[in-house]
Amino acid sequence: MKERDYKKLYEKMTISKDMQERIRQGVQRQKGHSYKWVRVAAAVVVLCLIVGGSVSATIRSGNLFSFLSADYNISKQANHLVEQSKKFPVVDNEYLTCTMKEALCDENTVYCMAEVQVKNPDKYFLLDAKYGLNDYVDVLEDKLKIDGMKGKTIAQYLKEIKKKPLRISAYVKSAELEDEYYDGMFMKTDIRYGKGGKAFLYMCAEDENETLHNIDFHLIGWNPRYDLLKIFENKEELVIQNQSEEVKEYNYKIKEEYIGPEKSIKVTGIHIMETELGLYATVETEEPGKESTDSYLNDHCSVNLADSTGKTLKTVMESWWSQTEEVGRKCKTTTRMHYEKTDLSQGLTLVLEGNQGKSYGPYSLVESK
Amino acid sequence: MKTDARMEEFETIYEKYSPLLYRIAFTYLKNQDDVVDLLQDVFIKRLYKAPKFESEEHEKRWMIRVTVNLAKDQLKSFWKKSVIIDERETLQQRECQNWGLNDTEREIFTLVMALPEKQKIVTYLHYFEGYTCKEIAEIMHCKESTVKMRLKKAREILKMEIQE
Repeated sequence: MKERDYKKLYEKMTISKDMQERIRQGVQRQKGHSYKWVRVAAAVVVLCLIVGGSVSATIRSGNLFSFLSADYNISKQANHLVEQSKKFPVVDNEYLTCTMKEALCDENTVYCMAEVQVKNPDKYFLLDAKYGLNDYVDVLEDKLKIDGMKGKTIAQYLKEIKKKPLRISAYVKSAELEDEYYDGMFMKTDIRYGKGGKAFLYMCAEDENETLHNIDFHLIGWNPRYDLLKIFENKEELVIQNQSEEVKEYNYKIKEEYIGPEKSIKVTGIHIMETELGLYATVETEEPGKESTDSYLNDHCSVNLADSTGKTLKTVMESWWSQTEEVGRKCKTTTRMHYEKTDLSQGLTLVLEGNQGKSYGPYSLVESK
Repeated sequence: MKTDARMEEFETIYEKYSPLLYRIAFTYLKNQDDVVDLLQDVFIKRLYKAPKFESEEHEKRWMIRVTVNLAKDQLKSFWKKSVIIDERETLQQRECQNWGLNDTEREIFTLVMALPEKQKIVTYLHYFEGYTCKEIAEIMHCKESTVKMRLKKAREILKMEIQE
């Protein structure tokens, strides 16, 4: 293949008039509507808290356990699992110091808390860059939503208080994953602001298959306006031991052999690993008669565990892992999910959700050998 | 900015960037309908959420980056993956007809589309858009050596006799 052949091919790849018109119409429909973006909203809320001057809006210490228990149903007895070590990494650059304070490994999930201190809080105003891996929005142009300041952008506000924005993002991930191929799956981050340029970073990473031990901690400073530019990037290694000692394992089965009149999906195995912090569920299903994974995937039902009333259990990470393979004249799917701690003695059900919006169940589960 | 002025701005940036962004989006998604949805998002972000650009080149790189990021986000979706797997052959044949590709071009198209996404995008940016490896590394947020490696692998797969 010659370079000219390659270029000729791409020259022919042109957008049709019909498609052009559809793009135009889509953009036109946005007229008069405010554009919604979760990331933007989060940044504005943070600023509302800080600008509002409410001392209670900021926090003095960012204990990892109290942060997690605010969002998840975690037993206070599990507090002892949090590991505090002087061996944890410290980032020290010209803008800030960032010290990993606490970490916790619960089987396939690692939770970490790091404390950030801006070196010159009179000069820099800390902003978070949520989803830093795919960061491409100029938050400085977002409007403040505070009485008396409506209509002002963050950039204008910072100009008034004579501070420069310092925009950071941080995450932890399995050291086994190559940096250049990592796309941000299976991670979660959050930030809480303290006073005087202090902030607490909370990070969570998960591996669908293995217990996490070796973690990479990444801290990135972004140019607040020009998202292609990083002003610093630090990577530190973190080694942590699995702290979950009391792990219980259960097998469940569904009473009905086949589920749903429209979908002949057979649930062949439900395995639950209960740790001190959560539930790791693996659900295996089969669809007899479906010989191709392609056709199977197009008509797929996702599985979810639910309580006795059919209310889906709360997941720790929004993502779930699923793999389908063709075995003989059927397709087998393995799905793994991570739920918050739930009292299993209250009963469990299984719910299936089809890709057309239909749901099936709840189907009662009973413990099996 | 008033709505009419915004739409005028849209027409300008649309004329300027739609061919480039279309090819990039198609490189990832291989599906006209998904490409149209994605480009709507890209242009809406450009109109309502863009940063202040230092230069036209900065704007161009921003548009490329946003397109790549949104395409990658779409590909993360379980359902999007399944549609692409299932309908790949049909969709590609339809596009070949739309673009009036001859047999040789169809063969090249199939080879190019079969490249891994990471290799496809650097190949396109380098050989069609004329970006250097260093510039691509800046756009894609990766090391220059990574770009070179991806180009090398792509060339090996395509067996291209391309002189840099």
